[in-house]
Amino acid sequence: MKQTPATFYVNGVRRDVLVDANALLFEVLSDDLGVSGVHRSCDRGDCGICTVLVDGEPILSCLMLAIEACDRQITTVQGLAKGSQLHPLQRAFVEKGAVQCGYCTPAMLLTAKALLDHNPTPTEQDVKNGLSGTLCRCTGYKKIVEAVLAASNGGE
Amino acid sequence: MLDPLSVVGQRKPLAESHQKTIGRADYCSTLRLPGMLVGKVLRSPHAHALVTKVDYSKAEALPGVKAVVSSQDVPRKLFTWNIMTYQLPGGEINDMYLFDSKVRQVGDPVAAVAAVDEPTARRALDLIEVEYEPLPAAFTIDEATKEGAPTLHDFAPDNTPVPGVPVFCYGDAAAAFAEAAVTAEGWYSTSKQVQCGMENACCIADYQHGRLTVWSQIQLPHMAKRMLAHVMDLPEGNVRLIQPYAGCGFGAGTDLHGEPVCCALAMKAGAPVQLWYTRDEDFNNRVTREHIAKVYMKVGLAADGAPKALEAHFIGDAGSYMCKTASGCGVSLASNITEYDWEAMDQKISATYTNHIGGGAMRGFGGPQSSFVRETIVDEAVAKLGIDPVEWRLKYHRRVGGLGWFPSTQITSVGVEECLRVGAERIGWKEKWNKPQTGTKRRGVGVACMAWLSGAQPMLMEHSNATLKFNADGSATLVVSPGRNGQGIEGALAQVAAEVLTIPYEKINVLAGDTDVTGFDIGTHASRGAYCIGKAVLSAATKAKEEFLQRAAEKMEEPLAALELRDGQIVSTANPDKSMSIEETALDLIYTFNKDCHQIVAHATVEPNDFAPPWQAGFAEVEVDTETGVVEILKWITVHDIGRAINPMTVEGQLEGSTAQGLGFALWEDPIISETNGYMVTDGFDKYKIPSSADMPENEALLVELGDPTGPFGAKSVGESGMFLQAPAVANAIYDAVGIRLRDLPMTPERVLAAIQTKDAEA
Repeated sequence: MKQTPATFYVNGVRRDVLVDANALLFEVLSDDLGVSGVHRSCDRGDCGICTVLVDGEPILSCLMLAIEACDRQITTVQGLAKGSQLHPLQRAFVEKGAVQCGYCTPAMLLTAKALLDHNPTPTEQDVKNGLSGTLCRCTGYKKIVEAVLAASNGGE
Repeated sequence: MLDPLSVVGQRKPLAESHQKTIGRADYCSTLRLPGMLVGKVLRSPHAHALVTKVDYSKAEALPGVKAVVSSQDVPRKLFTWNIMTYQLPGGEINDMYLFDSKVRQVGDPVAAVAAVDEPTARRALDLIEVEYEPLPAAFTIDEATKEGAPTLHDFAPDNTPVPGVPVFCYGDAAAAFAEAAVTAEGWYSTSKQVQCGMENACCIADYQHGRLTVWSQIQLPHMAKRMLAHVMDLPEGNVRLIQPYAGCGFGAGTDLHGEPVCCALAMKAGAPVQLWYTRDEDFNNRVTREHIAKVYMKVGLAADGAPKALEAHFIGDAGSYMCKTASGCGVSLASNITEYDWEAMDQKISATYTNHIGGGAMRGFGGPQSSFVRETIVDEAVAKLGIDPVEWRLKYHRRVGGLGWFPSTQITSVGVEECLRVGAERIGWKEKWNKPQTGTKRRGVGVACMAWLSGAQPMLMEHSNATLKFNADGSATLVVSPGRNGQGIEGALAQVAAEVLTIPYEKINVLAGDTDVTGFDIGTHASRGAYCIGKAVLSAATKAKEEFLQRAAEKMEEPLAALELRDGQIVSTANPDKSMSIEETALDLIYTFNKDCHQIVAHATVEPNDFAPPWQAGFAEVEVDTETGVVEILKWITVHDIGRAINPMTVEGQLEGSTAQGLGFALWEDPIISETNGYMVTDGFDKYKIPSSADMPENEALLVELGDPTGPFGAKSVGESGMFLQAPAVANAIYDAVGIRLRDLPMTPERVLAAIQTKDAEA
């Protein structure tokens, strides 16, 4: 497989790496760059679990070739907190009980961040629609929606 | 109302939620060990065949391949993925061999490879040469039980090792039916729901210096360790089971999946191997919900509504290996006993092998199925008498001291009346029920009830251990061994310990997830964690408290009987000026220079006997579109008799998550098994519909807290109960709206519309 030199900006840090031309973004993030918190599930864009932000927009890292993300800003869940200080969404997820098994949590947080960046004061229905591309089997979504609303409502 | 406590009853964030929100929590699928190889399984394309030849020499020669294994590389050991076989004195049906010479479903493992990366592993699978001698196959119970059907397992020539076995019958059902004023009866079907945790099946194995370490999503780690030692023919002490956080569960972690194959690869490769299933592999090669495919039920009521008799037959479609299908049918039957005070019960179970993926366990384990049938058929009979179904349920449930789910058990607490009253008020039952509707969109309300258990004792051995190890600052490590599925058990157990010791919750650090460190525990199943492990923690904490008091008595020179522990201070009732804090005592115990050092390490073992049933009422308000058959849930309410909520926030979380799974079971989740090759066609989230945030209706989870005399601080269970009642309450609400009785799950628009059209045609 032909390898290509590629530059990624992961959570604000420049990373230079050789990637296979057909490598998917989640493979490069979790295997080549050792970024934790990027989770794999359906591999075909059905569940949203592997969501990361590329230039601020949520994308499915199982469907994006890594080379498509070259020279772009990639935000994973590790990019949300400032040192030991949690992002307001992370704090709200903890305090509202929005986390159970936690496997969808990185994707939910990032999707919610993009949602709030676009619409800082969403309604409950806006949040339910905005998160509907990321599946969670544990929570029934109620406390996740509550957490996103709490973070939007003066949480920042 | 119960008296408030100080730590128990507080809303606490999930203990590990900080780690999980910053992306630092480890799962089997995210762990990357140095030198770790990628495992892949070669799976049978045939539903039923003899494996006549496996030649993997070409695969072994491929650069990058570190190990290839098939039947000749593993001990021939009879086993089962169902590690709960160890909880019964006679065990359960063991019917598997690793890489057996006969495959019984599409996907059965034939060989496996470990290679340096995934593409190499996939290429290696293509190089393995296998020859099969295909056999006729049976994909449904009807096919597997007809004359001349192919035999899956030699020990069960007719494919039905459990042939209509009567269980826990009492009274004279025929006589009671003869006295009944009304009866209702029918055949029902329920779906083979898939657990669908968002993390696919995954495990890692590593073999070094004669010791095998396995990272697994299992909920029952100590029994998994024992089974893997058996399958690999190792001494049990040479196997260590580590549980990272599991991104899945809901019962899926009560059976093994890829662990035996992964262990075989790691032992041959001499390097760690990670075996991760793709999502379609996960759907087809990991046992699903116990599939109680068909249920027959008949009930009879006296003229005043009094329950006379219940007759039932629970029929399981076991798939290729028994795992938990027979026991699921048994629990379905047993869980049918506790709720109502029948004069006679006559119930039996069957289970039949078929050539597709088998049934393991999913949340509720038989309870959602028996609740669907019982609560809808009771509604039907009660309607014939013109009695309000809420009033009927308030009157005829069993009472404290009454018969429980297992012979010799007694009901220790009952909160169902409060559940019904709270829920009826909240949904507006009096205003909304039995209001005839016209037009194409018709609304209705429905109710259902259930009683469950807090652990499967006394039928199953439910042995738990807990250890509290104190540091010099008075904090402690609590060592326990539950499943690690994010259900909130670790924090709840810390709350129990902190309450007993009157110290802050933050001073208890929970250690779990490693069988080399933790004491034996059955683990997490049957909603047992807070009750069974909670009782072990309560007992260990009480022993630790006694040791603190003993030490303080010596140091304070006060009689032990005069000492009390209040808010972290040991005080003398005889001499109120004298006191010693837990911190001072702990420091003195560890750093003392009088030759009396003694670290408090308090340990307790429990085997509970009582089953402490939680009770519940569920209420649905629906709108049925008579032109399309689409059922919209307008509101869902769960009212749960928890005894006492140790952590109300995580209790609500269990109930809310269960509501989503229960609505999926009721309306959307529709697994389709091919009737030509047994493959589960619905092998991804594009075909198998689990609820998204946009699908969830307005819903509430309300708690009734009246305490149970046997539970830790009065607590009963919550893990499974929240998903029993959506199907029956929605079905009853559909009846209230449009007058049809649905007997098959899920209640798809096609089925609803067909029933409406049949009713209209009859009218």
